[in-house]
Amino acid sequence: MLGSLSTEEHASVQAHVERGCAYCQDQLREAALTVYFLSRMPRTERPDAKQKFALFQRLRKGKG
Amino acid sequence: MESEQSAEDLLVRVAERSECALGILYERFAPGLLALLHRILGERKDAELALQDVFLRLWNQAARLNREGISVSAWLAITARNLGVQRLRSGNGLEPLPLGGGAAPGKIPAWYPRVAQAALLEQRSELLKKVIKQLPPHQRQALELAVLDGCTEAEIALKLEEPLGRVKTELRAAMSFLRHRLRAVMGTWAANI
Repeated sequence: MLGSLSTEEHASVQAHVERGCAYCQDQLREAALTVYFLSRMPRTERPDAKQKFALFQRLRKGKG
Repeated sequence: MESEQSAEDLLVRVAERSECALGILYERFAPGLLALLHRILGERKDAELALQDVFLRLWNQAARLNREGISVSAWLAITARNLGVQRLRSGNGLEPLPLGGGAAPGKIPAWYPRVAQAALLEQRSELLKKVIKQLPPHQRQALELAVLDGCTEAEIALKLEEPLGRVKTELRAAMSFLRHRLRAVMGTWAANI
C-alpha cells in the first residue's frame, strides 16, 4: 500500500492477496484509509487560474 | 446550486463527459491536492503539472470509479500521493515503488475506500488528527517518510540512520496503531482515544 516494501516482499504480498485472503483485503482497506487521511494533512494551496485553463486545454487536446 | 452537489453526483456527470462538473471538482479538491503534491515534490511548478495529471486521470477513469462506488476524495488523495512519490523518485533516479497493492495492472484495487467509509472519516477528521499526534515521534517520522516522501524501508533506514529491522518494526507498529485507532474512530471497534 505504501510502496515501502522491497520488490520481493511486494511480489509475495501481491501473490497472497490475489489468492483472495479476506483478512489481508481488510488490512489493505484500512491501510488505504490511513494513507488517505495522512494525505489530507497538509494545508491547502490555491492553484493559479491559468492552471485550470491549462488542464482543460490538455483535456481538449486528448492528452489525458 | 452546483457547489452543493456531492462529489459522487459530480463524478456521474464527469463520466458523462461534463467539463463543467470536472471544473467544480477541481475547484473543490485542487487546493488540498496541490498542497500535498507541493509537500511531496518540493517545487510548486512540478506540483502544478502533477495536479493536472491527477485530474486528467479522473476524467479518464470517472466511469469506472462511479461503477465501483469509489470515494472521489479518497481516490484523488491516494492517486495524487502515488503520482507525486513516483515522480519524485523518477526525478531522483530511483526505482518506481510497487504500489499496486495486489491489484492487476490497470485495475482499481478492491480496497480503495468506498464513499461511505471516506465520508465517515471526513466527519471524524478532528479526532483522527488527535490520533496521529499520539504516535511516538520515531514512528511518525518513519510513516511520513514512507507516505509523503515515498521512501522504501531501506531508504528510511539510511535517512534515520537506524537498522532496517528497527525501521520495519516502527512502520508496522505505526500502521497497526493507526488501523486500530481508525477502527475505533470509525465506530467499528472500541478503544480509548
